[in-house]
Amino acid sequence: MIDETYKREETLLALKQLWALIIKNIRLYFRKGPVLIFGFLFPLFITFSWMIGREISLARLFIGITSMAIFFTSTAISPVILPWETREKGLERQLVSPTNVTRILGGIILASTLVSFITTSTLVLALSIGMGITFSSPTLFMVFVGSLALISLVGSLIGVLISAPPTDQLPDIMTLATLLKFPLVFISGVFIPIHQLLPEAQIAAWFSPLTPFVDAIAACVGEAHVIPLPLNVLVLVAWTLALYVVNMILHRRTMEKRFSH
Amino acid sequence: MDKEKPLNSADMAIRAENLTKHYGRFTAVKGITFSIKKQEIVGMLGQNGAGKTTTIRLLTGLFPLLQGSTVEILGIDIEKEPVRCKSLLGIVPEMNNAFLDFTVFQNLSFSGRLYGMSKAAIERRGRSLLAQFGLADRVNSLTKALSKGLKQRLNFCMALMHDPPVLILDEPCGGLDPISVKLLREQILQLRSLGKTIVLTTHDMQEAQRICDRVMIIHKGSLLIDESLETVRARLGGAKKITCKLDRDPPAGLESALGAGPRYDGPELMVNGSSCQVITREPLASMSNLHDFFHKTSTVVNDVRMEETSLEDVYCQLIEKEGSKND
Repeated sequence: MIDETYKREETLLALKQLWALIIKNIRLYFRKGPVLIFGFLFPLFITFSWMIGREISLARLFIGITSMAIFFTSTAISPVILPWETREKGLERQLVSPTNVTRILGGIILASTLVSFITTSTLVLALSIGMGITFSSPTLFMVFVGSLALISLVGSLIGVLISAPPTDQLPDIMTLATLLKFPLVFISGVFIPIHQLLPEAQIAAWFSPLTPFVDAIAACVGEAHVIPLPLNVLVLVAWTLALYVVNMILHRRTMEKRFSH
Repeated sequence: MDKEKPLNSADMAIRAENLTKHYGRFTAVKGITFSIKKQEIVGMLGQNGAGKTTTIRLLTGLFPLLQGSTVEILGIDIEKEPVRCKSLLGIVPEMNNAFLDFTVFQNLSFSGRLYGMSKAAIERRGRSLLAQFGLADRVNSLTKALSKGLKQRLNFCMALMHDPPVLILDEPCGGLDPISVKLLREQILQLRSLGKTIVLTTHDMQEAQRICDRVMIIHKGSLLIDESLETVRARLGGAKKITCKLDRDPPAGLESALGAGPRYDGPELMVNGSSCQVITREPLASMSNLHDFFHKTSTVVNDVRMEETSLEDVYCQLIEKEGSKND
């Protein structure tokens, strides 16, 4: 009985802490310079340089902008927080309170997911109305929204993974993030549909977590896609789980090294 | 080591056994064991890099314990019940750890929430602490706009939000202005009167002497001393400190003239440029030896002073002895 009460109290405390961490991360990091540059300005300029002077169908344009916006936004906030808080000592403050690495990472992942999902959904809604993009069934629309949520989560997990090296130098982490994110965007069918890529590039494309999302939303808006929609969603779920596990293992190993100097 | 009274586990606030920490091949903390009584203020002294902060990080659960090591806070094992154990601790760091882009109150509120406090409790406790630490008019100020002294007061408030019975203060007054230092020292003493147990790391021997009941001296990862202040003072057995300021560096032969050397109870000589210090249990004999030596070597003495020995003298003597052992 005492054990059950204790467990219930601890679960309640964990939820309260998670909420406090999410709110803190959104308030503190959403407007930081690197987040605005890498999360909002980068995809905007890449979109312009991609579309100007090219004949691209509205549907392809919609797929490209949506994919870039959600991927860049979701991978922009999460890598910033750990090196920033290591440098400013806020991470140590959280770790000596009755919380743990899982909750701290959870707070980062969920804050990044929420921000990227809400901001990109607003953009995507405006785009779909402006471009006249329609979904042939409510189910496809729901799958589209669900895929947006899943890729926000996957992007946030990738961002947190990038911040696993135990450094307090933000530029190091942002360089690593750029090195990883750009090739992923180029091989994932964002600019050229997957079925039009070279055979070798098509194989490489399936090593990117962005590919199942691009293929899934292509299916949702009635464009050519490579694998069935349910399979794309399943692959996204598998990426989410795999990235979560890898993150927990890596960060538990590197967390202590952040203070070992 | 102080073997005054064996501690009953019910009297203990902190029990640390065989604390060890390696950074690669370097051992920063070498099997340190100690206990701290409830309501005690214990000073943890040591040079930079001696292992004080690492010891604190082991105590607070920031670093995992190696097999065979134990930390208990009020009888609760930090490895077995980290959440309960950490709830009993309040930590004030040397460097500010409040979020700079949060206001003073947002920082307090975040701290309170990490400990599961309700909104009303945060409001009540937060306002009271801010008044106590002279920050009542800074509630809505951004933390980055505060001076170093005010930031440190905020760190105290954050550490006290959940009213922990055990406080760990890591050089809390380092680099602060005298007004902030005075206020924080008063607060530390007041916290003791409220029944808190306090571990204080510091380089400031006078501060330790003024505030602490007990001192631990850590040197190169090992615990050299864990004794009450009275016992530490008794180590020098009523010795006196003679300080002489000369017109030049002391000539060779001063040490032998004093009879100073490795003898445990003999006079200890420390030379710093043209100034020399002698710690001695026979002040009159030492004074006479000094007079004869300076007279013989035609050395002009500009100033001479005889004082009671302090914690700082014990500390310096111990560290120098350790240094000469290693040499």
